Amino acid sequence: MDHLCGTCSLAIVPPAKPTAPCSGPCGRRFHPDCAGLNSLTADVLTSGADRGLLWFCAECRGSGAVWPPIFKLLNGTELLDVRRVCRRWRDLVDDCAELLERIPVRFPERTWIDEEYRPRDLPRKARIVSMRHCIVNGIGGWWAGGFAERLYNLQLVGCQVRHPVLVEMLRHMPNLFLLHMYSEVDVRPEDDLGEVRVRLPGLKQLAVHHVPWEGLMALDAPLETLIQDGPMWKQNVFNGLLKAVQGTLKVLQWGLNAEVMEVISTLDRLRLKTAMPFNMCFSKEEEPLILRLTRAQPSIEELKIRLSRLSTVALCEVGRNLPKLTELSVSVNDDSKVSAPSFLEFMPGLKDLYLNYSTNSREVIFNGYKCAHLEKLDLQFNLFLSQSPPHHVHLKQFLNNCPVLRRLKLTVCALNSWSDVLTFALQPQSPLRHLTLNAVRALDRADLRPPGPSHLRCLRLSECDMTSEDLTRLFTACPQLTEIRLAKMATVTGATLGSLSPWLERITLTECSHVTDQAVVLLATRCQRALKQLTLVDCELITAATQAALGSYRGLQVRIQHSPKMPAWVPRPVDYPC
Amino acid sequence: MSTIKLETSDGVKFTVKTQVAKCSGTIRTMLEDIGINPQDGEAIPLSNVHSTILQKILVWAEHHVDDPEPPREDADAAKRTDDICSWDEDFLKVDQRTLFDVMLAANYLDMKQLIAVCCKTVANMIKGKTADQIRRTFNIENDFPPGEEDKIRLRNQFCEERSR
Repeated sequence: MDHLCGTCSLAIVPPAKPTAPCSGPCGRRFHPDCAGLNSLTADVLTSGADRGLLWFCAECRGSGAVWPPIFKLLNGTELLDVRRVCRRWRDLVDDCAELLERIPVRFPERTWIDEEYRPRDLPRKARIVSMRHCIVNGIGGWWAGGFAERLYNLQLVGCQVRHPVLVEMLRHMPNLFLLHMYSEVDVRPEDDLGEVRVRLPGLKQLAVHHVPWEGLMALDAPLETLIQDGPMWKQNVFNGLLKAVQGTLKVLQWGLNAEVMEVISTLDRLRLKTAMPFNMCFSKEEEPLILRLTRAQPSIEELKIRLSRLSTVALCEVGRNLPKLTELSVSVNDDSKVSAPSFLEFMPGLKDLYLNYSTNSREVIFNGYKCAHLEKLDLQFNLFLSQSPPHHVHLKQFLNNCPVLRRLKLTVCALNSWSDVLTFALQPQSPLRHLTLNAVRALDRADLRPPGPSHLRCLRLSECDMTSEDLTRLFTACPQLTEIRLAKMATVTGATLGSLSPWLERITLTECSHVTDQAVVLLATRCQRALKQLTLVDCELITAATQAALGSYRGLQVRIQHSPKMPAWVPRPVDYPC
Repeated sequence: MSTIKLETSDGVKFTVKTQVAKCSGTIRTMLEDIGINPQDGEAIPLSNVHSTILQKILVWAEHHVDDPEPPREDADAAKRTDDICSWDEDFLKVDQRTLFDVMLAANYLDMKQLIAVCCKTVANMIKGKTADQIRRTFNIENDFPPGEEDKIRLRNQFCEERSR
């Protein structure tokens, strides 16, 4: 074996063909060509002199200390793929408890679990367990015998669990950190709820979905995060739990109503940092409730309001009530013809802002305001009125007043001209790295003159009415792009793609009807050194030829998808009665 | 400004600013604990590092020499792989062999920040790929005997999404 090349297995006959020794545990020798060595390294390695240069063959790289720290950066699903690569990688994962415990254990769906159930080959070092649509009527000794003690994440989704069984399961989980309770708990008349007291000293996060389980009121846990998803459970259960954990709770998501607000305003030890109230009814009565919340909890730093709309006046009060506010996500309710986000004056510390303008205002003027700390801005305008003229947004001066803005996303709106955004985004000193424009139009169609070269890394354009020339100039001004997504852009052609950065790592083209196989292959070849992912969705002119041409590119993942063509809709003639 | 000399495995000597060289924990230890005196003019031997790799590493160290001390171990931040700064991304756009050689040399030189950024770069090359794609990316041979992969799949019954 020592006299065969480690790759081609042909005999090594020195000195006719010099070989390089592997410094790893295999100690084999390799022909430089077989090992893919460059000429410089090959010269040094094959010279025979000990110059201290270490070189490891591909196999030994898998056995050394190189991989474990890399594997520690992967999640459980990725580690499962890693285990299937080769025997060495499988052993590396299996020999490391820290990696093994990251792989989630999922019980097969619809498993019937009772005292008699004995799972075979259950990974004993698991720390994450998921049960989906299982019926849990009892639990055997395997649970309490060391398995449950290690668990820190339990997910019960769509299961039916008997009340005393759940209490018993939780009692054996002193290290539980995260509990997902998206399951039905079967409480029967004979179950004694009064004596339930489950102490979970490590439980910090609880997520529940429509679980009216009285047992939650008796949880003794230092909860920091409570997520209520879906319809409100029994009000008394939620109120009881809230009172029990008020001293530690920092993050709360819940369905807003007057009764909960009544409870929250009486909790003198509650200091929320993140509040995520949501409104299931779309009524306007939530505005006073949210204002009441901000008065009762001035410690809030992140306020994310779902499905409720707040007026500009109310948002001004929110800003006054929450001096530490850094993140705001809200729908603005403003029916005046011309709207201005005057509330920004009262929120000087904002870093992350999402505004949804589902209003009748036709013009929104941001100019004149400034956000010195804003890093992320996401403005979305009325999607339901897409047939009517888009909201006219004035942003140019405002963007210049955001000196640390790194991410900008605009959805369904009209700008005065492309320079409103692109002058800021593409100037060499701009802090912006990610720009997303969805269905954005420019009222003044003057030629785009981007300053450039910019430091923009990610550009996503969808349904923007830019000409091919505009796009070419835009791409030329972004030489450092690593990701681009273009969707429904009929003006994207081979020539425009030719001006893209050669450092692109991810390219996604969706419904770009003029993009050809040849243009894509040329682009991929130009970006070959960096490109990792190429996705082409519903681009009419793209065929299997692209896949065939790029199949040999190492490390490149190509995905081509064509949705099935829907038959043209033919209205059925109305058969009016005589 | 004080400088020191470093000698690589292939006998090449580099004259480096002391502050830059001290980005390496190994060199720092040699200077501070073992008492090697750079003023003697004697080069510090780096027997596990080739000159081409050291040259590249010194470029990195020069760029990051004034970086503040990294914050104390933050479990979440340490597991992120999407926070590689753009300069480092460009720096590590090299062929795989060089990338691994830089990582091995950084390990020998005890340069934690460089090791971390190399690991993140390689982890990003693994993420989102199937086992077969990973094999192709790193040129790894599938050495499982026939049927072994199916056995792994069976043994993974508690780890993969499936329904009865």
